[in-house]
Amino acid sequence: MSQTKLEFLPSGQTHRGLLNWVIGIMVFLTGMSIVAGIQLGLMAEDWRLSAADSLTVQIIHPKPDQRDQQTKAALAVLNSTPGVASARAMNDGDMSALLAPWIGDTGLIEHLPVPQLVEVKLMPGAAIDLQALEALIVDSAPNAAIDTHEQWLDDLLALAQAAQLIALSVVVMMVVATIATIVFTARSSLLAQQEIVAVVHMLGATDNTIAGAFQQRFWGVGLRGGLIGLGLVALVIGGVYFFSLNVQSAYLPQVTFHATTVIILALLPLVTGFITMLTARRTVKRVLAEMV
Amino acid sequence: MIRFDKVGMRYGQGDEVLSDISFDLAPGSFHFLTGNSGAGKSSLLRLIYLSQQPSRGLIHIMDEPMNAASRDTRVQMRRRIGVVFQNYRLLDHLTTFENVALPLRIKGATEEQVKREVRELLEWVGLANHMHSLPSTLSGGQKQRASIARAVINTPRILLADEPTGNVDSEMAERLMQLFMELNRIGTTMVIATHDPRWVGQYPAPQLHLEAGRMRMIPAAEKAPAIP
Repeated sequence: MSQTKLEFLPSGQTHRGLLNWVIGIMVFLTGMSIVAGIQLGLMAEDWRLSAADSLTVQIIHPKPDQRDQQTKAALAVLNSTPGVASARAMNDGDMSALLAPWIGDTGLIEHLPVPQLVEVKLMPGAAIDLQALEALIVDSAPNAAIDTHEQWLDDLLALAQAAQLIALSVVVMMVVATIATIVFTARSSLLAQQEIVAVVHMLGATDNTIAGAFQQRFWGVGLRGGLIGLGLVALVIGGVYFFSLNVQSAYLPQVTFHATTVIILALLPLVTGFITMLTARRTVKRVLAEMV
Repeated sequence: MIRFDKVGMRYGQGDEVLSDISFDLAPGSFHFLTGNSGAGKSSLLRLIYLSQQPSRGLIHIMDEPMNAASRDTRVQMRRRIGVVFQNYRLLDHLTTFENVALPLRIKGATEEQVKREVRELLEWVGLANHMHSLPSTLSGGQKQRASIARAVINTPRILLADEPTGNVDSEMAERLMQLFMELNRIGTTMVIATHDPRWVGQYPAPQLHLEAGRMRMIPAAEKAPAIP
Protein backbone atom coordinates (compact mmCIF):
# COMPACT_ATOMS: atom_id res chain seq x y z
CA MET A 1 0.00 0.00 0.00
CA SER A 2 1.46 3.32 -1.04
CA GLN A 3 1.17 6.53 0.93
CA THR A 4 -0.37 9.31 -1.16
CA LYS A 5 1.66 12.30 -2.22
CA LEU A 6 0.10 15.58 -1.15
CA GLU A 7 0.35 18.18 -3.90
CA PHE A 8 -1.91 21.14 -3.48
CA LEU A 9 0.04 24.03 -5.01
CA PRO A 10 -0.71 24.95 -8.62
CA SER A 11 2.05 24.27 -11.13
CA GLY A 12 3.52 26.93 -13.37
CA GLN A 13 4.14 30.11 -11.45
CA THR A 14 5.63 32.65 -13.82
CA HIS A 15 7.96 34.33 -11.31
CA ARG A 16 9.80 31.06 -10.70
CA GLY A 17 11.47 31.18 -14.14
CA LEU A 18 12.78 34.64 -13.32
CA LEU A 19 13.91 33.51 -9.87
CA ASN A 20 15.93 30.69 -11.47
CA TRP A 21 17.92 33.31 -13.37
CA VAL A 22 18.28 35.69 -10.40
CA ILE A 23 19.68 32.84 -8.31
CA GLY A 24 21.74 31.70 -11.31
CA ILE A 25 23.40 35.12 -11.60
CA MET A 26 24.08 35.21 -7.85
CA VAL A 27 25.57 31.72 -7.97
CA PHE A 28 27.70 32.80 -10.94
CA LEU A 29 29.12 35.80 -9.01
CA THR A 30 29.60 33.61 -5.92
CA GLY A 31 31.32 30.93 -8.00
CA MET A 32 33.65 33.44 -9.64
CA SER A 33 34.56 34.89 -6.23
CA ILE A 34 35.23 31.40 -4.88
CA VAL A 35 37.43 30.58 -7.88
CA ALA A 36 39.32 33.86 -7.49
CA GLY A 37 39.80 33.31 -3.74
CA ILE A 38 41.00 29.72 -4.05
CA GLN A 39 43.25 30.38 -7.05
CA LEU A 40 44.83 33.38 -5.32
CA GLY A 41 45.48 31.26 -2.23
CA LEU A 42 47.07 28.53 -4.32
CA MET A 43 49.22 31.01 -6.25
CA ALA A 44 50.37 32.67 -3.01
CA GLU A 45 51.34 29.26 -1.63
CA ASP A 46 53.30 28.48 -4.82
CA TRP A 47 55.15 31.81 -4.56
CA ARG A 48 55.91 31.23 -0.89
CA LEU A 49 57.24 27.71 -1.49
CA SER A 50 59.38 28.67 -4.48
CA ALA A 51 60.82 31.66 -2.64
CA ALA A 52 61.46 29.78 0.60
CA ASP A 53 64.15 27.53 -0.88
CA SER A 54 66.00 30.13 -2.87
CA LEU A 55 67.82 33.42 -2.56
CA THR A 56 69.71 35.74 -4.88
CA VAL A 57 73.10 37.32 -4.38
CA GLN A 58 73.72 40.56 -6.29
CA ILE A 59 77.19 41.91 -7.01
CA ILE A 60 76.87 45.54 -7.98
CA HIS A 61 80.06 46.99 -9.39
CA PRO A 62 80.49 49.17 -12.48
CA LYS A 63 83.75 47.49 -13.59
CA PRO A 64 83.19 44.07 -15.21
CA ASP A 65 86.52 42.59 -14.08
CA GLN A 66 85.93 43.57 -10.45
CA ARG A 67 82.40 42.23 -10.73
CA ASP A 68 83.64 38.87 -12.08
CA GLN A 69 86.29 38.62 -9.40
CA GLN A 70 83.81 39.26 -6.61
CA THR A 71 81.35 36.83 -8.19
CA LYS A 72 83.93 34.06 -8.07
CA ALA A 73 84.70 34.87 -4.42
CA ALA A 74 81.03 34.86 -3.50
CA LEU A 75 80.50 31.53 -5.31
CA ALA A 76 83.39 30.03 -3.38
CA VAL A 77 81.84 31.07 -0.06
CA LEU A 78 78.39 29.85 -1.08
CA ASN A 79 79.60 26.47 -2.34
CA SER A 80 81.39 25.82 0.93
CA THR A 81 78.37 26.76 3.06
CA PRO A 82 76.41 23.80 4.54
CA GLY A 83 72.75 23.87 3.46
CA VAL A 84 73.41 25.43 0.07
CA ALA A 85 72.33 22.97 -2.61
CA SER A 86 73.71 24.95 -5.57
CA ALA A 87 74.97 28.40 -6.47
CA ARG A 88 75.14 29.53 -10.09
CA ALA A 89 76.13 32.84 -11.62
CA MET A 90 73.56 33.87 -14.21
CA ASN A 91 75.03 34.34 -17.69
CA ASP A 92 74.19 37.01 -20.28
CA GLY A 93 71.53 34.80 -21.81
CA ASP A 94 69.77 34.36 -18.46
CA MET A 95 69.96 38.13 -17.82
CA SER A 96 68.58 38.94 -21.29
CA ALA A 97 65.66 36.55 -20.74
CA LEU A 98 65.01 38.06 -17.32
CA LEU A 99 64.92 41.62 -18.61
CA ALA A 100 63.29 40.90 -21.98
CA PRO A 101 59.72 41.68 -20.75
CA TRP A 102 60.89 45.22 -19.89
CA ILE A 103 63.52 46.14 -22.50
CA GLY A 104 62.80 43.60 -25.22
CA ASP A 105 65.21 41.25 -26.98
CA THR A 106 67.36 44.06 -28.46
CA GLY A 107 70.89 43.27 -27.20
CA LEU A 108 70.69 46.50 -25.20
CA ILE A 109 71.69 44.62 -22.07
CA GLU A 110 75.33 44.51 -23.18
CA HIS A 111 75.45 48.30 -22.83
CA LEU A 112 73.69 48.51 -19.46
CA PRO A 113 75.42 48.35 -16.07
CA VAL A 114 73.28 45.47 -14.77
CA PRO A 115 74.43 43.73 -11.58
CA GLN A 116 75.69 40.18 -11.63
CA LEU A 117 73.14 37.84 -10.12
CA VAL A 118 73.95 34.56 -8.41
CA GLU A 119 71.02 32.16 -8.14
CA VAL A 120 71.24 30.14 -4.91
CA LYS A 121 69.14 27.04 -4.20
CA LEU A 122 68.92 25.95 -0.59
CA MET A 123 68.41 22.43 0.65
CA PRO A 124 64.79 21.92 1.81
CA GLY A 125 64.50 22.84 5.48
CA ALA A 126 68.08 24.11 5.68
CA ALA A 127 68.61 26.38 8.70
CA ILE A 128 71.05 28.98 7.44
CA ASP A 129 71.95 32.13 9.36
CA LEU A 130 71.54 34.56 6.48
CA GLN A 131 73.12 37.50 8.33
CA ALA A 132 76.27 35.45 9.05
CA LEU A 133 76.33 34.19 5.44
CA GLU A 134 76.01 37.75 4.11
CA ALA A 135 78.87 38.87 6.38
CA LEU A 136 81.07 36.04 5.09
CA ILE A 137 80.29 36.87 1.46
CA VAL A 138 80.85 40.58 1.98
CA ASP A 139 84.28 39.79 3.50
CA SER A 140 85.46 38.39 0.17
CA ALA A 141 83.07 40.31 -2.15
CA PRO A 142 82.51 43.81 -0.65
CA ASN A 143 79.87 44.80 -3.25
CA ALA A 144 77.68 41.77 -2.68
CA ALA A 145 74.20 41.79 -1.12
CA ILE A 146 71.75 38.98 -0.38
CA ASP A 147 68.14 39.27 -1.51
CA THR A 148 65.95 36.68 0.28
CA HIS A 149 62.85 37.75 -1.75
CA GLU A 150 61.13 38.40 1.59
CA GLN A 151 60.29 42.01 0.89
CA TRP A 152 58.46 41.50 -2.42
CA LEU A 153 57.03 38.18 -1.28
CA ASP A 154 55.51 39.75 1.84
CA ASP A 155 53.96 42.53 -0.25
CA LEU A 156 52.65 40.02 -2.76
CA LEU A 157 51.23 37.75 -0.06
CA ALA A 158 49.58 40.73 1.67
CA LEU A 159 48.03 41.73 -1.66
CA ALA A 160 46.83 38.17 -2.29
CA GLN A 161 45.32 38.01 1.20
CA ALA A 162 43.53 41.32 0.70
CA ALA A 163 42.13 40.06 -2.60
CA GLN A 164 41.03 36.82 -0.91
CA LEU A 165 39.23 38.80 1.80
CA ILE A 166 37.41 40.82 -0.85
CA ALA A 167 36.42 37.57 -2.62
CA LEU A 168 35.17 36.14 0.69
CA SER A 169 33.17 39.32 1.37
CA VAL A 170 31.57 39.03 -2.07
CA VAL A 171 30.65 35.38 -1.34
CA VAL A 172 29.09 36.35 2.02
CA MET A 173 27.17 39.26 0.45
CA MET A 174 25.92 37.03 -2.37
CA VAL A 175 24.71 34.36 0.08
CA VAL A 176 22.92 37.02 2.16
CA ALA A 177 21.39 38.59 -0.97
CA THR A 178 20.27 35.15 -2.20
CA ILE A 179 18.64 34.35 1.16
CA ALA A 180 16.92 37.76 1.22
CA THR A 181 15.60 37.19 -2.33
CA ILE A 182 14.27 33.75 -1.38
CA VAL A 183 12.62 35.08 1.80
CA PHE A 184 10.92 37.79 -0.24
CA THR A 185 9.85 35.35 -2.97
CA ALA A 186 8.63 32.70 -0.50
CA ARG A 187 6.53 35.33 1.29
CA SER A 188 5.10 36.57 -2.03
CA SER A 189 4.43 33.01 -3.12
CA LEU A 190 2.66 32.28 0.16
CA LEU A 191 0.64 35.47 -0.23
CA ALA A 192 -0.31 34.54 -3.79
CA GLN A 193 -1.45 31.11 -2.57
CA GLN A 194 -3.12 32.48 0.56
CA GLU A 195 -6.55 30.99 -0.20
CA ILE A 196 -5.10 27.56 -0.99
CA VAL A 197 -3.01 27.62 2.19
CA ALA A 198 -6.04 28.73 4.24
CA VAL A 199 -8.14 25.86 2.84
CA VAL A 200 -5.56 23.11 3.45
CA HIS A 201 -4.86 24.61 6.89
CA MET A 202 -8.58 24.45 7.64
CA LEU A 203 -8.70 20.84 6.37
CA GLY A 204 -6.13 19.87 9.00
CA ALA A 205 -2.77 20.18 7.23
CA THR A 206 0.11 20.71 9.65
CA ASP A 207 2.58 23.57 9.28
CA ASN A 208 5.19 20.99 8.27
CA THR A 209 2.97 19.66 5.48
CA ILE A 210 2.33 23.13 4.07
CA ALA A 211 5.97 24.22 4.45
CA GLY A 212 7.00 20.90 2.86
CA ALA A 213 5.06 21.69 -0.32
CA PHE A 214 6.77 25.07 -0.62
CA GLN A 215 10.23 23.72 0.23
CA GLN A 216 9.86 21.10 -2.52
CA ARG A 217 9.15 23.87 -5.05
CA PHE A 218 12.03 26.02 -3.85
CA TRP A 219 14.49 23.10 -3.82
CA GLY A 220 13.87 22.79 -7.58
CA VAL A 221 14.25 26.55 -8.07
CA GLY A 222 17.55 26.59 -6.11
CA LEU A 223 18.91 23.58 -7.94
CA ARG A 224 18.06 25.03 -11.35
CA GLY A 225 19.51 28.42 -10.36
CA GLY A 226 22.66 26.69 -9.12
CA LEU A 227 23.04 24.80 -12.40
CA ILE A 228 22.56 28.00 -14.42
CA GLY A 229 25.21 29.74 -12.27
CA LEU A 230 27.59 26.80 -12.57
CA GLY A 231 27.11 26.78 -16.35
CA LEU A 232 28.00 30.48 -16.54
CA VAL A 233 31.07 29.95 -14.32
CA ALA A 234 32.18 27.04 -16.53
CA LEU A 235 31.77 29.21 -19.64
CA VAL A 236 33.89 32.03 -18.21
CA ILE A 237 36.58 29.73 -16.79
CA GLY A 238 36.70 27.76 -20.04
CA GLY A 239 37.06 31.03 -21.94
CA VAL A 240 39.88 32.25 -19.68
CA TYR A 241 41.66 28.90 -19.93
CA PHE A 242 41.33 28.84 -23.73
CA PHE A 243 42.56 32.45 -23.91
CA SER A 244 45.53 31.67 -21.64
CA LEU A 245 46.62 28.81 -23.93
CA ASN A 246 47.00 31.27 -26.77
CA VAL A 247 48.83 34.01 -24.85
CA GLN A 248 52.45 33.65 -23.86
CA SER A 249 53.46 36.34 -21.45
CA ALA A 250 55.81 36.61 -18.53
CA TYR A 251 53.23 38.78 -16.77
CA LEU A 252 50.45 36.17 -16.80
CA PRO A 253 50.68 33.16 -14.49
CA GLN A 254 49.88 29.77 -15.94
CA VAL A 255 46.14 29.01 -15.48
CA THR A 256 45.58 25.70 -13.72
CA PHE A 257 42.63 24.65 -11.58
CA HIS A 258 43.10 22.77 -8.35
CA ALA A 259 40.82 19.80 -7.56
CA THR A 260 39.45 21.75 -4.53
CA THR A 261 38.16 24.48 -6.86
CA VAL A 262 36.48 21.96 -9.15
CA ILE A 263 34.85 20.06 -6.23
CA ILE A 264 33.53 23.26 -4.59
CA LEU A 265 32.14 24.47 -7.92
CA ALA A 266 30.50 21.11 -8.59
CA LEU A 267 28.80 21.26 -5.17
CA LEU A 268 27.43 24.79 -5.75
CA PRO A 269 24.05 23.76 -7.26
CA LEU A 270 23.38 21.30 -4.42
CA VAL A 271 24.39 23.82 -1.75
CA THR A 272 22.22 26.47 -3.45
CA GLY A 273 19.31 24.02 -3.58
CA PHE A 274 19.66 23.29 0.13
CA ILE A 275 19.99 26.95 1.15
CA THR A 276 16.96 27.85 -1.00
CA MET A 277 14.91 24.95 0.35
CA LEU A 278 15.72 25.60 4.02
CA THR A 279 15.19 29.36 3.69
CA ALA A 280 11.78 28.83 2.03
CA ARG A 281 10.77 26.29 4.68
CA ARG A 282 11.77 28.59 7.53
CA THR A 283 10.04 31.60 5.95
CA VAL A 284 6.79 29.71 5.31
CA LYS A 285 6.76 28.26 8.82
CA ARG A 286 7.26 31.70 10.33
CA VAL A 287 4.35 33.08 8.31
CA LEU A 288 2.16 30.08 9.22
CA ALA A 289 2.95 30.55 12.90
CA GLU A 290 1.13 33.88 12.65
CA MET A 291 -2.05 32.00 11.63
CA VAL A 292 -4.32 30.60 14.36
CA MET B 1 -19.74 18.28 21.80
CA ILE B 2 -19.43 22.06 21.32
CA ARG B 3 -19.48 24.24 24.44
CA PHE B 4 -19.12 28.03 24.57
CA ASP B 5 -18.92 29.86 27.91
CA LYS B 6 -19.40 33.63 27.74
CA VAL B 7 -17.40 33.86 24.54
CA GLY B 8 -16.69 37.26 23.02
CA MET B 9 -14.87 37.98 19.79
CA ARG B 10 -13.58 41.08 18.04
CA TYR B 11 -11.49 41.63 14.95
CA GLY B 12 -8.40 43.66 15.81
CA GLN B 13 -9.27 46.64 17.96
CA GLY B 14 -12.86 46.89 16.67
CA ASP B 15 -16.11 46.39 18.57
CA GLU B 16 -17.13 42.90 19.61
CA VAL B 17 -18.91 41.05 16.80
CA LEU B 18 -19.94 38.34 19.24
CA SER B 19 -20.72 38.97 22.90
CA ASP B 20 -21.35 36.62 25.81
CA ILE B 21 -22.11 33.60 23.65
CA SER B 22 -22.90 30.54 25.75
CA PHE B 23 -24.34 27.22 24.57
CA ASP B 24 -23.71 23.51 24.83
CA LEU B 25 -24.50 21.28 21.84
CA ALA B 26 -24.94 17.55 22.52
CA PRO B 27 -23.23 14.93 20.33
CA GLY B 28 -25.35 14.01 17.31
CA SER B 29 -27.55 17.10 17.63
CA PHE B 30 -28.83 19.20 14.72
CA HIS B 31 -29.02 23.00 15.02
CA PHE B 32 -29.71 25.83 12.69
CA LEU B 33 -27.65 28.97 13.17
CA THR B 34 -29.89 31.86 12.19
CA GLY B 35 -29.71 35.61 12.11
CA ASN B 36 -29.56 38.52 9.70
CA SER B 37 -26.61 39.24 7.50
CA GLY B 38 -23.83 40.64 9.70
CA ALA B 39 -25.28 39.13 12.87
CA GLY B 40 -22.08 37.13 13.38
CA LYS B 41 -23.00 33.69 11.99
CA SER B 42 -19.78 33.26 9.98
CA SER B 43 -17.67 34.53 12.90
CA LEU B 44 -19.29 31.99 15.21
CA LEU B 45 -18.60 29.20 12.70
CA ARG B 46 -14.95 30.35 12.43
CA LEU B 47 -14.61 30.02 16.18
CA ILE B 48 -16.01 26.48 16.02
CA TYR B 49 -13.75 25.37 13.19
CA LEU B 50 -10.81 26.98 14.97
CA SER B 51 -9.74 29.53 12.39
CA GLN B 52 -10.23 32.37 14.91
CA GLN B 53 -9.45 32.76 18.59
CA PRO B 54 -12.03 34.25 20.94
CA SER B 55 -11.20 37.57 22.62
CA ARG B 56 -12.63 36.21 25.85
CA GLY B 57 -14.57 33.26 27.24
CA LEU B 58 -13.97 29.52 26.98
CA ILE B 59 -14.49 27.15 24.08
CA HIS B 60 -14.60 23.37 24.44
CA ILE B 61 -14.79 21.16 21.36
CA MET B 62 -15.33 17.44 21.92
CA ASP B 63 -14.69 18.08 25.62
CA GLU B 64 -11.25 19.56 24.98
CA PRO B 65 -10.48 23.17 25.95
CA MET B 66 -9.45 25.03 22.82
CA ASN B 67 -8.34 28.43 24.10
CA ALA B 68 -4.79 27.42 24.92
CA ALA B 69 -4.64 24.24 22.82
CA SER B 70 -1.35 23.52 21.06
CA ARG B 71 -1.09 23.81 17.29
CA ASP B 72 -0.95 20.01 17.04
CA THR B 73 -4.16 19.62 19.06
CA ARG B 74 -5.91 22.19 16.87
CA VAL B 75 -4.73 20.39 13.72
CA GLN B 76 -6.04 17.06 15.03
CA MET B 77 -9.33 18.71 15.98
CA ARG B 78 -9.75 20.35 12.54
CA ARG B 79 -9.49 16.91 10.95
CA ARG B 80 -12.60 15.89 12.89
CA ILE B 81 -14.63 18.93 11.84
CA GLY B 82 -16.09 19.20 8.36
CA VAL B 83 -16.94 22.62 6.93
CA VAL B 84 -19.13 23.50 3.95
CA PHE B 85 -18.66 27.07 2.80
CA GLN B 86 -21.18 29.28 1.08
CA ASN B 87 -18.64 30.06 -1.64
CA TYR B 88 -17.44 26.40 -1.70
CA ARG B 89 -13.72 27.24 -1.41
CA LEU B 90 -12.74 24.45 -3.80
CA LEU B 91 -9.20 24.68 -5.15
CA ASP B 92 -9.62 25.75 -8.78
CA HIS B 93 -6.51 24.00 -10.11
CA LEU B 94 -7.53 20.59 -8.70
CA THR B 95 -10.15 18.25 -10.17
CA THR B 96 -13.28 17.34 -8.23
CA PHE B 97 -11.62 14.04 -7.27
CA GLU B 98 -8.46 15.77 -6.03
CA ASN B 99 -10.44 18.38 -4.10
CA VAL B 100 -12.49 15.73 -2.31
CA ALA B 101 -9.37 13.61 -1.73
CA LEU B 102 -7.49 16.46 0.00
CA PRO B 103 -8.57 15.72 3.62
CA LEU B 104 -7.67 12.04 3.20
CA ARG B 105 -4.29 12.87 1.68
CA ILE B 106 -3.59 15.40 4.43
CA LYS B 107 -4.38 12.67 6.95
CA GLY B 108 -1.89 10.39 5.18
CA ALA B 109 -4.33 7.80 3.76
CA THR B 110 -3.08 5.24 1.26
CA GLU B 111 -3.72 5.77 -2.44
CA GLU B 112 -6.00 2.72 -2.53
CA GLN B 113 -8.09 4.10 0.33
CA VAL B 114 -8.26 7.53 -1.33
CA LYS B 115 -9.44 6.08 -4.65
CA ARG B 116 -12.03 3.81 -3.07
CA GLU B 117 -13.52 6.32 -0.64
CA VAL B 118 -13.53 9.34 -2.95
CA ARG B 119 -15.18 7.40 -5.79
CA GLU B 120 -17.78 6.00 -3.44
CA LEU B 121 -18.60 9.40 -2.01
CA LEU B 122 -18.70 11.16 -5.38
CA GLU B 123 -21.17 8.54 -6.57
CA TRP B 124 -23.24 9.14 -3.45
CA VAL B 125 -23.45 12.90 -4.06
CA GLY B 126 -24.09 12.36 -7.79
CA LEU B 127 -20.77 13.62 -9.11
CA ALA B 128 -19.33 10.33 -10.42
CA ASN B 129 -19.41 11.71 -13.97
CA HIS B 130 -17.57 14.87 -12.97
CA MET B 131 -14.71 13.25 -11.09
CA HIS B 132 -12.05 14.68 -13.40
CA SER B 133 -13.68 18.04 -14.01
CA LEU B 134 -12.20 21.26 -12.70
CA PRO B 135 -14.44 23.34 -10.41
CA SER B 136 -14.69 26.07 -13.05
CA THR B 137 -16.69 23.67 -15.27
CA LEU B 138 -19.18 22.69 -12.51
CA SER B 139 -22.54 24.33 -11.79
CA GLY B 140 -23.24 25.94 -8.41
CA GLY B 141 -25.07 22.85 -7.16
CA GLN B 142 -22.28 20.53 -8.31
CA LYS B 143 -19.68 22.70 -6.59
CA GLN B 144 -21.72 22.66 -3.41
CA ARG B 145 -21.98 18.87 -3.53
CA ALA B 146 -18.24 18.58 -4.13
CA SER B 147 -17.71 20.90 -1.17
CA ILE B 148 -19.99 18.73 0.98
CA ALA B 149 -18.19 15.59 -0.18
CA ARG B 150 -14.85 17.16 0.85
CA ALA B 151 -16.31 18.09 4.23
CA VAL B 152 -17.62 14.59 5.01
CA ILE B 153 -14.92 12.38 3.43
CA ASN B 154 -13.15 12.07 6.79
CA THR B 155 -16.45 11.17 8.53
CA PRO B 156 -16.24 14.23 10.78
CA ARG B 157 -17.86 14.25 14.19
CA ILE B 158 -19.03 17.83 13.63
CA LEU B 159 -20.27 19.25 10.31
CA LEU B 160 -20.64 23.00 9.91
CA ALA B 161 -22.33 24.48 6.87
CA ASP B 162 -22.41 28.18 6.08
CA GLU B 163 -25.46 29.05 3.94
CA PRO B 164 -25.15 25.74 2.06
CA THR B 165 -28.34 26.31 0.08
CA GLY B 166 -27.67 29.95 -0.71
CA ASN B 167 -26.35 29.48 -4.25
CA VAL B 168 -28.43 26.56 -5.50
CA ASP B 169 -31.95 26.18 -6.86
CA SER B 170 -34.74 24.99 -4.56
CA GLU B 171 -34.70 21.40 -5.84
CA MET B 172 -30.96 21.10 -5.22
CA ALA B 173 -31.35 22.85 -1.85
CA GLU B 174 -33.91 20.25 -0.85
CA ARG B 175 -31.57 17.42 -1.85
CA LEU B 176 -28.71 18.98 0.12
CA MET B 177 -30.88 19.32 3.21
CA GLN B 178 -31.84 15.66 2.91
CA LEU B 179 -28.15 14.84 2.71
CA PHE B 180 -27.46 16.77 5.92
CA MET B 181 -30.32 15.03 7.70
CA GLU B 182 -28.92 11.69 6.61
CA LEU B 183 -25.45 12.60 7.93
CA ASN B 184 -27.02 13.65 11.21
CA ARG B 185 -28.87 10.35 11.46
CA ILE B 186 -25.53 8.51 11.37
CA GLY B 187 -24.31 10.54 14.35
CA THR B 188 -22.71 13.70 12.97
CA THR B 189 -23.32 16.82 15.04
CA MET B 190 -24.66 19.43 12.61
CA VAL B 191 -24.72 23.23 12.72
CA ILE B 192 -26.21 24.83 9.61
CA ALA B 193 -26.04 28.58 9.24
CA THR B 194 -28.90 29.93 7.19
CA HIS B 195 -31.01 33.01 6.80
CA ASP B 196 -33.59 31.09 4.77
CA PRO B 197 -36.71 30.70 6.98
CA ARG B 198 -37.99 27.96 4.65
CA TRP B 199 -35.64 25.35 6.08
CA VAL B 200 -36.10 26.43 9.65
CA GLY B 201 -39.85 25.98 9.29
CA GLN B 202 -39.59 22.72 7.40
CA TYR B 203 -37.07 20.87 9.59
CA PRO B 204 -37.72 20.51 13.32
CA ALA B 205 -34.40 21.60 14.76
CA PRO B 206 -33.52 24.12 17.46
CA GLN B 207 -31.94 27.39 16.45
CA LEU B 208 -28.96 29.32 17.70
CA HIS B 209 -30.30 32.73 16.84
CA LEU B 210 -27.90 35.66 16.61
CA GLU B 211 -28.88 39.30 16.80
CA ALA B 212 -26.24 42.00 16.79
CA GLY B 213 -23.62 39.61 18.10
CA ARG B 214 -25.73 38.19 20.93
CA MET B 215 -27.28 34.75 20.90
CA ARG B 216 -30.38 33.08 22.17
CA MET B 217 -31.49 29.50 21.78
CA ILE B 218 -34.87 28.94 20.12
CA PRO B 219 -36.36 25.47 20.72
CA ALA B 220 -37.41 23.37 17.76
CA ALA B 221 -41.11 24.02 18.08
CA GLU B 222 -40.82 27.79 18.12
CA LYS B 223 -40.43 29.77 14.91
CA ALA B 224 -37.58 32.23 14.55
CA PRO B 225 -38.45 35.91 14.26
CA ALA B 226 -39.22 36.95 10.70
CA ILE B 227 -36.13 37.97 8.83
CA PRO B 228 -36.55 41.33 7.15
